Amino acid sequence: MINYQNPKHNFLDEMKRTSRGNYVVQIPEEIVLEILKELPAKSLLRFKCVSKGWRNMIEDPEFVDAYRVRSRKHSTNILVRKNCFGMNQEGKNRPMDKFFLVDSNRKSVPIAVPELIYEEMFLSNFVRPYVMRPVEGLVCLNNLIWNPTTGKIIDLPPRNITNSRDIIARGYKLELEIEIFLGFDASSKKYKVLSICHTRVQEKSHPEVFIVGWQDEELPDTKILTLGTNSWRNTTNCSLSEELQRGFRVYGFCSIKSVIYFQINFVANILAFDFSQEKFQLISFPDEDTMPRMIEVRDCLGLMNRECTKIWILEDFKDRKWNVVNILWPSSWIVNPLYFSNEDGSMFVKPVGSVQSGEILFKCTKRKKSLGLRGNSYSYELSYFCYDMEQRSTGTFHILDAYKEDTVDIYPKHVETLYP
Amino acid sequence: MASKGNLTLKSCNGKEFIVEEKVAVMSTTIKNMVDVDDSFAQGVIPIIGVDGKILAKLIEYCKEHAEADEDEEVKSEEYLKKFDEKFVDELNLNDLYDLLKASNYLEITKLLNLLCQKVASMIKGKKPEEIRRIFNIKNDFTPEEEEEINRQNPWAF
Repeated sequence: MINYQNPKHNFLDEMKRTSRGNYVVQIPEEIVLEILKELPAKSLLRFKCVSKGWRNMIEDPEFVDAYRVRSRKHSTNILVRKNCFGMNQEGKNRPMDKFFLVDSNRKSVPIAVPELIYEEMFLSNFVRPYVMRPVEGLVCLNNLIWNPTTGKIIDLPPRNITNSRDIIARGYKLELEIEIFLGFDASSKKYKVLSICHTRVQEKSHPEVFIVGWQDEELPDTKILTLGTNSWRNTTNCSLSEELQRGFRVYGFCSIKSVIYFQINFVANILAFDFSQEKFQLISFPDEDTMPRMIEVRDCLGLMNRECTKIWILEDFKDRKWNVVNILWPSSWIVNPLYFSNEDGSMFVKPVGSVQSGEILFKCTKRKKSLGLRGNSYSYELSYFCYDMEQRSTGTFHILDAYKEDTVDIYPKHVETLYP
Repeated sequence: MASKGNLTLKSCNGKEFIVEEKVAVMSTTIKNMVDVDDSFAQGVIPIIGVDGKILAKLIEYCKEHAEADEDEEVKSEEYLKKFDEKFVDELNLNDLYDLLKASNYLEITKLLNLLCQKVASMIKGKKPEEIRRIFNIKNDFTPEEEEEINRQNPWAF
């Protein structure tokens, strides 16, 4: 007989049974780690106080990273944000957004929001960032970074404006603001924060628009921070064109993998910041379409035209490799820019992003016409549906009726991370 | 002696099972043994520390999955999912832990994941003291330390 017994695997010796039939087990640590990876984050936070050994296992950076990776691979969780208002202690009306986590069984659990988040929303004049798609489980809200899974807010070191002085434009003094953007550097497996000093222009139609830089020759004041460290570093601005250095408008942004993409007012250009190289780069649109919608598609940047009939997918960021996918809607739908119509009435369709199975999720507002006493009246109904790029078909996307409201934003594929 | 393409597995209490090679090599440990040393493919492979009952269970699982890998039409993904559910549901605690260790040792990754998911679903709603009892763990925190951890994660409870 060949002896291949490995002392490491001599697991029988580790087993103990009590005589009363109460089953007590001594499971090797490597198996316990595998079991822990399968647990919801809430259970893990609770099990930190089982013993020092368990706490160390759960807090071990390697485990934290493995847990994030696993959660990202399988996540069918949806983070839901509902825009709400409420009174603060001084009796002032302020934003009090509610958050929920919807799991794969469509069970919805409210998430406790730290008071600080509401204070920050209030202080920043109710400006709600349009896109706050979570980055590997962390949420960047106004100037705070929050982990909805652990409930922790990450303290950022103070950031000073390099050239603090008054900016006068057309006779008005403009306020300088610092906006932060969250990203994840996949090569170092670290979260990073990009901060940009800018002036905000409040436009009703585009509350998210802001201007980076100002009308002089200086570089925009940008800095970068690795979460967990204590100092802001300079970024490499060298690749920004002179034109850009004089300032540009940002219309929207989207953080995907190690890159954050800014939609800017330079026609047919996207400004990308690579969190691994800590460098700005310009990316040209593959098409003439001037204002496509930026979404995340299967972990890549997707640009969808306004008619929602075509999507360009940046499959390779380094090589700038684009793939174009035509979207085939049911033949009974009449496709116009901004809205579709069929026999039921018309509907406004907006792409949200992709879901775990790779389909593209759309938010759809249907307008139904009904004949009343005083002529036509309209009612609105919100729903979601998915588009499968391979099958070229649409399918329903189930979400609780309570979240079928215009004030609700949903973020599919939400990752649970134990950091910090 | 097993016929060509078959392997003989022997449990620690002496029970022998003749299985197809494709079933046996679902276990990475067995696959490595067979790949490295040809004589295993001819003789009897002793599975140390795994008794006949558990080995039979392991083979039952591997057979279904090996067949599904070969012919997706007969055993669809949905069929396998149902099989997996039934397989873990029918296990009692003793068998579950024995299988957990055996699948870890034999490196049957799919089964190990399945069993870990099962244990996770059993313990996810438990209190820390129940976890200590199940896993036979001693609480080595002082009451102050324990309270501090609870304070840091108030909504985990």
